[in-house]
Amino acid sequence: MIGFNKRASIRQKIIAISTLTSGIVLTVAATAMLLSDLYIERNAIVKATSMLADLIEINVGAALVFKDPEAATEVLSELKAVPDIAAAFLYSSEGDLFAEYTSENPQHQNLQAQTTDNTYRNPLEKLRDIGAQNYITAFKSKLLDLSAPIKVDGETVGLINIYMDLEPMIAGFYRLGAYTLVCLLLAFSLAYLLSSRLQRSVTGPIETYSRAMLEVSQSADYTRRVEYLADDEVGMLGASFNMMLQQVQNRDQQLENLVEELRAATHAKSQFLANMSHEIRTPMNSIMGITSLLLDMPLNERQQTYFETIDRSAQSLMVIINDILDISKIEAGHLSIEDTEFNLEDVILHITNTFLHPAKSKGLRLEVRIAPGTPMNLLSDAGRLQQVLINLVGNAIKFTPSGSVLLNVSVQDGSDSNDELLFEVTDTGIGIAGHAKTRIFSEFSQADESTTRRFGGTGLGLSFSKHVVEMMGGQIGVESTEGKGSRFWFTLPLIQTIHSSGSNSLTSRPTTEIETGKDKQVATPDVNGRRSGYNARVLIVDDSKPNLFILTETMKTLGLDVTAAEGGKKAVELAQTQQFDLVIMDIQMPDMDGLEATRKIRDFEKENFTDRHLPIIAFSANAMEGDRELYLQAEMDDYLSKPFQKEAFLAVLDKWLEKEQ
Amino acid sequence: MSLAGKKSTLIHAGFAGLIRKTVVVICLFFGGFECSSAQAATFEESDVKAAFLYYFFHFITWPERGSESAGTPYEFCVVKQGPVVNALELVLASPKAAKTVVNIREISDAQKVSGCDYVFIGSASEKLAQTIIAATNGAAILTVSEIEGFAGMGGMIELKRNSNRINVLMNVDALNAQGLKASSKLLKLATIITTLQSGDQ
Repeated sequence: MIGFNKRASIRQKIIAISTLTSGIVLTVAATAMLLSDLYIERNAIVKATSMLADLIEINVGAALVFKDPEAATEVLSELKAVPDIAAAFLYSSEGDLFAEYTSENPQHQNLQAQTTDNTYRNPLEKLRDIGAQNYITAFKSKLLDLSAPIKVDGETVGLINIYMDLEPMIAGFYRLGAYTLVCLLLAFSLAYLLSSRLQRSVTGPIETYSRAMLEVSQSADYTRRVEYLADDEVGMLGASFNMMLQQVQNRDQQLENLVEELRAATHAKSQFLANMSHEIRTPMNSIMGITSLLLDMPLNERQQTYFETIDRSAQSLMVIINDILDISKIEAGHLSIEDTEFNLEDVILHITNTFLHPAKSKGLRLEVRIAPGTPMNLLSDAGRLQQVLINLVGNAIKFTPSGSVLLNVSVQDGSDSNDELLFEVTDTGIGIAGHAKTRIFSEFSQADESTTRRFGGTGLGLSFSKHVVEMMGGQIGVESTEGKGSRFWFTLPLIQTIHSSGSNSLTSRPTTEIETGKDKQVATPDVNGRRSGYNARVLIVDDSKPNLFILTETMKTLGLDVTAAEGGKKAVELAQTQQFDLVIMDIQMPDMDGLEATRKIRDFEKENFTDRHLPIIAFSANAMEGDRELYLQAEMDDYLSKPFQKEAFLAVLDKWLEKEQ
Repeated sequence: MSLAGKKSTLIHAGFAGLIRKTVVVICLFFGGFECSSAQAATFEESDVKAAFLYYFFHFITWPERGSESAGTPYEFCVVKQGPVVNALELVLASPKAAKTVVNIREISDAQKVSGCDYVFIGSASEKLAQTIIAATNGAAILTVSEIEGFAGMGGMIELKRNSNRINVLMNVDALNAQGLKASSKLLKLATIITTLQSGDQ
C-alpha cells in the first residue's frame, strides 16, 4: 500500500493516484506491447529464415549429393537478395563445409567474425540436435543462428546454417521503444493535466463544503445551508450536512423554547414568592402594629408575657418572609447595591440594640470590638451591611447554647493592596461539621437537616449574605470546629469618605465592649416611654383599614394630631383644604395611588404657595429595589417599609417633625 | 562385430572428425572453393561413384513406377561385380537408405537385361557397353557407366573423372527416349551430352 503524506491535500492525492495509476497501466501495457512486438518480430525473422533454408534445401540438395560445390555456392550466392543475411554455410552430412556465402555488406564483417567463433559447434552435433525438427535456432547477441537439414527425398544429406543479422530488427525495436517512451511521457503528462483539471469536480465541492462548515461553526449560524452541488457521494455529504444543520437548528429552537419556558417559570416563581411575601406582610403589619400598641398599654405581667411572645413570633416570621423576599430579589436580579455615606458606629449600634435582648434572654455574652484606627465614616450600602451582620450575629446567637458571641471589626490589607474591612463573628456554639462548611452558603441549606428541626430557619440567610457580600466586592467564609464554635468572617473594600477624620466615641477607646451585663445597658430609644413632645398634624393615607387603625393609634400614643384618609383622592382633597405637618402615604391604593396623589399635592403646592413643602413619606410593602427611586422621583421625601416597625417609624418622625422643646 | 572393433572405429571416426574440422577451419580461413574439391578428393573414387549411383534413384523418375510400386525393389543389374558396386552395397545397407529397396543382380549375359531397372557398366566391362545400350533400347532401363564416352555412344549417364572430381554427363535424349525423366536439379548440375553420330566422330 502506498502511503500518502498526511499533509497532502485531496487534490494532490487525486492527481497522484490518477497519474500514478495511468502511468503504471500505460507502462505495463507499453512493456507488454514491446515484448510482444519483439516476440512477433523474432518469430517473423525465424520464419523468414526457415523459409530461406527451405528454398536453399530445394535448390542445393542435388548439388550436395552430386558433390558440386560450385553449383551449391551459386545457389547460396542468391542469398544476397536478402540483405540481412550475414552469412550462410552449407555442410555435407559428414559435417564438412561444402559451400558458403558471406555478405559483402561491411556492417556484417564483425558479425561474420562471430560466425567463425560459432563454428566450434560441430554441424554433426547440430544435425543431431535437430532430430526430427525442421530447424533449430540460437540467438547470439545480434545474430540469429538458424540451422536446417538439407534433405533429399526425406534423407538428410547436409546442413544449412544461416546467420541472420538482427541489427535492423533490434534497431527497429529500439526505435519503437523510443516512440513508445515518448508516447508514454505524453500520455503521462496528459494524465497529469487531465487529473489536475478534472479533480476540481471532486475537490471543488469538498472545498466548498468544508469552507461552508467552517463558516457555520465559526458564526454558529445554523440557519445556513450548503448549496447542493452534485448527485455523488460528495453531494450526499452536503445533503447530510444540511440535514444535520436542520437538526441542530431544530434542537436549538427547542432549547430556546425550553429556556424561555424555564425563564418564564422561574420568573413566575419569583413573582409568586414576592407576591406571597407582600400578601403576608400586610396582615403581619396589622399583627405587629396591634401587638406594639398593646405592649404600650398598662398590662399585668402575664398579659405582658403573652404579648411579648406574640411580638417575638411575629418578628421571627418577618425575618423568614424578608429572607424569602431577598432571595427572590436576587433570583429576579432585582437586588442592587446602593452606596451611601454612613457611619459604621450607627450600624454596629443598631446590631447591638437588635440582639441585646435576645442574647441576654439566652444568658449569652454579646461582645463588640472595634479595632483602634478603624475608620467610621464609610461609603457603602449600610442597609445591606446591616442585613449581613444581622444574619451572622443572629445565627451565632441562635446556634450558641452558652458562652459568648463576639463581633470584631478591623482593617486588614486586601488582595489588591487596598485596605479592606474585616468583620468577624465568633461564637462558642455547636460549630459546623467539615463537610457542611462548603454547603452552608448554598440556598435552602443548613449544616444538616436536624439543624432545621432543632433550630428552625429557612437556611436562606447565609446564601443571601454571600450574594450581598460578593456584590459589594467582598468575600465571606467560615472556620469552625464541631462542638467548639464557629468563626464567620467577611470582608468589604474600605472606601472612606471625606468625613472619615471624625472620631467616634467607640473607637476612642482601645476596645469597646458592649456587655449584656447588669449595669451597662446601651440606651435604646425608650419606646415604652410614651414620648410625646411632638405637636404636629399628621395625615395618614392607606386603603387598608387595619393599617390605618394601627398608624392612627400609634400616632395618637405619641401625642400627634392624626387625620386618616382611606384613599388617594381623599388625601389630595384633605391636603388641599387642611394644613398638615407630615403625610404618611401608602402607595398601592385602588382609587388613586400614592404617587399620583403626591404629584397632585405637589402641583397644588406649586400653584398656591411658593415656599411651602409638605413632607410626604412613602409607606409601602413594595420592598423591591428601585421603588425608592420611583418614590423620590415623585417628589416624596422619604420611605418607610411595611410592615410597621416602630423604630423606623420613630426615626422618620424624628427626622421630619420638629420636637417641642 | 566385436566390441573392441567397434571401439576402434569410434576412435578412428573421432580422429578423422578432428582432422576434417581442422581442414574446414583452414579452408574457411583462406576461403577457397578448391578446399571443397580437395575435400572431395579425400573420398575413394568408388565411394563417390556409389553415392552418385544411389542418388540417381532419387533424381530419376521411371515411367512405370508409380506410387503403388514404392515397396517393390529396384532391379539393379551389374555385368560384373567391382569396387563401385561393393561400395553401393554398403551405401544401401546404411539405415538412411532404408526407403530405397534395391535388388542387386549380376548378369552374365549382356543381352539379358530385361527385368532390370538400372544397369551399371563398370570400367572393366567396357566392351559390353555397346551391346547393353542396344539391349536396353526400348525398355525403361537407366544405364550408367564409368566408361569414357558412354553418354556419347548412347548411354544415359556417364560418370567422368575430371581431375579430383566426378562429373555427371547426361544424354538427355537417350533418357527421354526410354521414358525416363531426370530431375531439373540434376540436369542443372550435369553436363548434357547428345548421341554422337558416326559422322561426328
